[in-house]
Amino acid sequence: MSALLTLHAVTRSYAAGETAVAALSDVSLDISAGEFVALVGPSGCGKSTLLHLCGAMDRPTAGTVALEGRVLAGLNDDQLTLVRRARVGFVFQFFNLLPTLTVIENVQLPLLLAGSRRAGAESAARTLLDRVGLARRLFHYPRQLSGGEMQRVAVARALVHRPALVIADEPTGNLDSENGHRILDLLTELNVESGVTLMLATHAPDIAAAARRVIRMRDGRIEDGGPRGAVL
Amino acid sequence: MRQAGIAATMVLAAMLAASAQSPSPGWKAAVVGRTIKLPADHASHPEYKLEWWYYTGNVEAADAHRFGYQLTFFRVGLDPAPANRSAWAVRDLFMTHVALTDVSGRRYHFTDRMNRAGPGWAGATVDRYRVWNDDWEATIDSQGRHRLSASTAEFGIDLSLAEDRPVVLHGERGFSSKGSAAGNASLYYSLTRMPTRGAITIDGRKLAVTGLSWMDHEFGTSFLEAQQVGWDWFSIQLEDGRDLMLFQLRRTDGSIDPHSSGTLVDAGSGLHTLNAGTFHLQPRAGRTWRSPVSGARYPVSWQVSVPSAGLDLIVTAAVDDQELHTEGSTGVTYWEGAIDVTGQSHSRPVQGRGYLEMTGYAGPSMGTVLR
Amino acid sequence: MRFFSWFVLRRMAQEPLRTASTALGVALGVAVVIAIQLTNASSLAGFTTALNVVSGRAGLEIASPGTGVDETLIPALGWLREFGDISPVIEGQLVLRQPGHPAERLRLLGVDVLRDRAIRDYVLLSPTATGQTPAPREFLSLLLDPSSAVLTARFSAPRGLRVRSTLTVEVGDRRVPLTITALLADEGPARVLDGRLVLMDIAAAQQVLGTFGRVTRVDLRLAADTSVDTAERAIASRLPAGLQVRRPAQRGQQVENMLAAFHLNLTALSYIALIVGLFLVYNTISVSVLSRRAEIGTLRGLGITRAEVRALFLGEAAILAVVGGAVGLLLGRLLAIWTIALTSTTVSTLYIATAAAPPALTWRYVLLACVTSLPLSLLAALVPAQEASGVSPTAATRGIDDVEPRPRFRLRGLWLPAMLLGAGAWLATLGPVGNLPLFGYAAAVAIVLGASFLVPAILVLVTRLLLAPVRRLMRVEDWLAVNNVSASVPRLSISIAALAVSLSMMVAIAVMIGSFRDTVSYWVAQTLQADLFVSPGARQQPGPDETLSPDVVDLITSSPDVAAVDRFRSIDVPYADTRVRVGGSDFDVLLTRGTLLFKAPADARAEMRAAIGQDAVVVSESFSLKQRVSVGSIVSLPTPHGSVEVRVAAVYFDYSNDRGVVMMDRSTFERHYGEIGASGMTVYLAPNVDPDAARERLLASIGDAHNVVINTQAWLRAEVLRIFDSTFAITYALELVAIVVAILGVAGTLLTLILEREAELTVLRLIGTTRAQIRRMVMGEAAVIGAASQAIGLCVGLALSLVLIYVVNVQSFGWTIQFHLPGMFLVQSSALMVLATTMAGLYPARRAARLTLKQDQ
Repeated sequence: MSALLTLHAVTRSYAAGETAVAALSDVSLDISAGEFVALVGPSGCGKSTLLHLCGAMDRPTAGTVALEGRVLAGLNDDQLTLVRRARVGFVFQFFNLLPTLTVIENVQLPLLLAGSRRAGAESAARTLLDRVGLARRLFHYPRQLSGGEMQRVAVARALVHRPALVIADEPTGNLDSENGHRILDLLTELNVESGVTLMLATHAPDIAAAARRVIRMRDGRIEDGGPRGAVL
Repeated sequence: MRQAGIAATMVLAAMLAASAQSPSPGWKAAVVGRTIKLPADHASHPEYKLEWWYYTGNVEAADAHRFGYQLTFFRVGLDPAPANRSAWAVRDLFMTHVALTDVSGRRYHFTDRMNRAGPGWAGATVDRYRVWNDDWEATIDSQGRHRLSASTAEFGIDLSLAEDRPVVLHGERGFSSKGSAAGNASLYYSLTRMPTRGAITIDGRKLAVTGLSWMDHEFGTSFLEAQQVGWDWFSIQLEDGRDLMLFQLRRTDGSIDPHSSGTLVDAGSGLHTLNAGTFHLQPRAGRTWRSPVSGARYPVSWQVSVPSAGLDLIVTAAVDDQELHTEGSTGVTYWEGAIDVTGQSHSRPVQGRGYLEMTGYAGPSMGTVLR
Repeated sequence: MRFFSWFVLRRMAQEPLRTASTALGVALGVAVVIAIQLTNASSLAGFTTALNVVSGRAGLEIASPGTGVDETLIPALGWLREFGDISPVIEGQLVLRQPGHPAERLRLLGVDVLRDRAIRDYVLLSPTATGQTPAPREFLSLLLDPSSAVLTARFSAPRGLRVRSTLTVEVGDRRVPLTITALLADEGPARVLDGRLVLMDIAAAQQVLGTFGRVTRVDLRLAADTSVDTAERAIASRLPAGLQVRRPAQRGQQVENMLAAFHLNLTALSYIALIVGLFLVYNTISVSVLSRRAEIGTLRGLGITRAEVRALFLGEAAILAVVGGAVGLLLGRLLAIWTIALTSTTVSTLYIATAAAPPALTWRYVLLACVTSLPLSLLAALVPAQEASGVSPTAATRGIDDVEPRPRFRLRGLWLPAMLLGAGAWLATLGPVGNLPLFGYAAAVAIVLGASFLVPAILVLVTRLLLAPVRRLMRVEDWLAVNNVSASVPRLSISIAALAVSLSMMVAIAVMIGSFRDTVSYWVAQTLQADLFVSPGARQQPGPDETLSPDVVDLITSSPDVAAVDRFRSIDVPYADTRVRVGGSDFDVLLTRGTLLFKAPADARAEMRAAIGQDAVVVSESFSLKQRVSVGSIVSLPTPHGSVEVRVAAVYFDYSNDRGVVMMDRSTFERHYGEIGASGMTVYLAPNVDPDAARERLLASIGDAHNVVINTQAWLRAEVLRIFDSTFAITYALELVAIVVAILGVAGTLLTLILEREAELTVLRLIGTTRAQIRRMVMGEAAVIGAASQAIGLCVGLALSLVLIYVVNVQSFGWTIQFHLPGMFLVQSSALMVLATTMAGLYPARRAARLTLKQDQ
């Protein structure tokens, strides 16, 4: 299988007054299509920065990031947006649903934004919501749902447009352990079912244990689980 | 003569220098041979440019409270035939000075007024004698008595004067030549001894008074030579029945003008003209009064001698401060006040009273004003 | 205090745009109020300062209704000296035309220079050429030369006029040469009227004005120990019939009363901008409270009391108010220059000839700015501050606020607006207070308030109705926009209500003015029937003293082109506590040639004919309404010979003057007011005579000797509408300011919403929303807000226009206006408004699109 995501000598630094602070320095990494990768490490180790770069949310200060062979560094904001819209899905700790939209509206939104027909978008959303077990909650508003339910909606939204890569930043961080495990199970199942690549950042060792590959980070560098060219 | 200067000053103040040039077209000049008839000539003569009626007098109340008064009506023609048909158009200005000297109270009060005829609030009639300025008035009543009334916020006079002694016509039967320039003349007569009764109001009290007044009436168009600094004018009524009028003109160089003159009326009404050099008017040393208002220094006591009449008199102001200011109207300041007269007539003591006028001591000299 | 600075000042500094826009909103509101107060003061000040100068130390004055005091009565008033010094005065207007300068009006003051200095102080500038010349001489020189005049240095210097310069002034249709004798120093009287004062001797003034036999009045300076009241009573009892004693200030009061309705209208309008500004304060503080609930919770948790929390937010409002008030004060002064320019034509055309100059910013205005901005801002902030004080300490820990995503529509919330609207309808049925339509204004306020409280309900309904079609027919970002607005109703309704209120006023005024204009142009077409209108060249209304010379009247009357003429004369006469216009006109000509539009009675023309030669009059509608008289009423008119009772024969429509006109046949007029010339003539031409050609021939025959203006019917009709439009320019201008403030409010609110929705926007961006889509969404929200405001504004505006037309106008001006909808204007302005609000979304949209995606927790 070819590499879905290739990072080569990536550095990302932020201006902090006069000096630049490197959140990532000289990171190289290959992730193949269909992988389930967990990023672990203490706070401030660069997990989120790495996720942002992989998810086409940000550009590196130095080095290259290529998603499906396409180098993201040279893209402008709109091009990055189109990459995200087509190829990336996101799940976050705080669910990040739009509170003014119903569950099904939240889920079909990525498709609508990409210009899909309403009918198609709606049926795709229905299918996925059915898959995550929320078929009876379609017309509820996010605040009417429990945390676990909200995160399941978020998962559905992240997958509705059939992305190549799903970025999940502490998806269970705001859930009790039961709900957390259910979300993890769901993500694992979907990774297997749809073959979507999953990158997940977490603090929790038991969550990380579910991944087939674990990358340990510290001080902006990969400690362990680094570049890998091939599938196990 | 005395008031000519004052009136002329007023005219000049009232007119631009350019329009004050003589001769004055449209006004009649005084000529020889015009006879003066009374009471007809008491009335106004609007064909002449200048005219005034001048009353001064010394009166006393029953309690011997003594007063001096002055009431003067000036008519100054500005434009004999105004082009403007408005009733407010100014043909003549009417100026009136009224003063009261409270000799016993040693106080001096005065007020002046200036008005146009307008729709009738000042004027002088021609058919009979009546001259008025608002509610101030001089007129002749049906008994032939002069009635004077003028009241102000501070004081008032309401007097009735008899024409006791025959009229004194100055100069040539009333034609009074002024100075060397031709045409400078006026028609001028005086009533030198007018028994007076009436009332004086002062401090809210009305006092019945009696005494003697002196009236001058003069009218003409052109009077003045231009080089006088000022003059000193005396009217004296002596208890022996004689009346004396004297004046001297002071020139810019300090000398006395040769046109200074006088008239002596004897007890039998006989007239004696006194020319310059036949009388002497000398301020008495150390007797001057400095006006706190104008800063002028006036000689308030004079040595007066008329050798031909055997008169050697001391004239002293009844009150020092009798200075009249008219800043509100014409800006002229002069001293005009009641006087006491003592001295000798042919070496016999004689007393009298009268009025003294002194001009040219304050403000710009008359000569400057005349330019 | 430090705490305040940390919590409030720093926050305000961090959001400079919101802070600035709110302060600017308050500033604009205050500025408009101040500007209008200055404007009103200036139109009066022009008159009252002139009045003060001209009155000098006069404590009382003797006057006569009509054209002045018969001067032959004056010597008989000698007894007045018991009370003080008297001085007769003639006042008039001159027009000076100089090459390179527009025609300028000068006030002529004719006094008896011999007496007047007891009453007035004049300081002459010593002419440098002669140097030592004593000043009073120039005054006395006024006596000799009827062309001699004293001008002010302030007026003369910039125009190159100096002592001994000659100039030609126009009085009525005559040209009069004047020579400057002296200049008044730039102090005291000479300063007022911007130096437009000409001092002359009373005789010369009488000749220049041609008012022989009359003086304007006699001033009386009371002696020091005389009480004005006692003197006024004593004098009144002794004056002959036809003469009246009054205080100079009474004239000012009459003019003030005359202008009251006009001023009240402007004041009412000016407060709209202020109220909208206060909505902004409410809005800003509300948003501030909403967006900082967590912070407030933390503070409460740290032990800050409720009162302290309330004080913090009131403090924020106070700062906005103080800054806004201060800026508004200065802005108002600048604005006043412009508003005065806009209104002065109106005031001088319709009410009094006055040189309007902005009065100085006195403490009174500083106080007004404080009083209008500070307490009202605090009041506006009270509700949100109260709400802030109610935030519980646990709010901090919950993290998410409890605002409902979609507000529900509650029937229960409708009783307050319903009551207010009902009250508005009831208030509109009440009569005027004095001559001021206070209940009418109250009705308008009730309607506006009621509608404002309805805004949330309307918004919920409208957005909900919009959602489905927009989703079906438009792009996803448009649907999101509607959805966002729908969700933000509680926060948006204040801004939308503010915008809707100002728009509704705009609509109401547009409808009112449109209707009025329509009515007036119909009236003009019906009543302006004469072919030519002749007036003195130096006359601008209202100049009742300026007349046509008799030879001009004769020349026109005898022209072969002319079939009939109506010489009319109008004068200002004190009536009740105001001044009305009394006119004399040839009823026969008016009946056979002209057309009046009668209101009552049915056989008005016959009644008018019967009034010829009788003590009977026709009165204008505004006179009838304001003085509460109708056909058959007996009106007591003051004349120079005492009061005269006249019967009202008919009431006619007249939109030329809101002060009221009493018109009588010329014979009746002359019997009571004397033969005093003609203010103007209307000319009916012989058949088949071309008006323009006739006009040229008449002007040629009059020649240069007189300056006469002859206007054709077509020109005059256009002129009436031009004056009409200029009269209402200020109204539109004020409204525009209110709308600008309201749009600022919308922009500010949108911006805040965007800052608050940062997380949401980030999600949208992450899931593939492009910047362009975000921009379109925010602009869409702005458009929805604009459209909703305009829609509400249209409905409320139409209701208000009914109040304005049928209540306020009738009560304050006494005019019947036919309702007319200016459809095109409303369509255009609606489109423009939606566009403008959409544009107001531009900046917030850009801010939203610029949001960076980086979100490090």
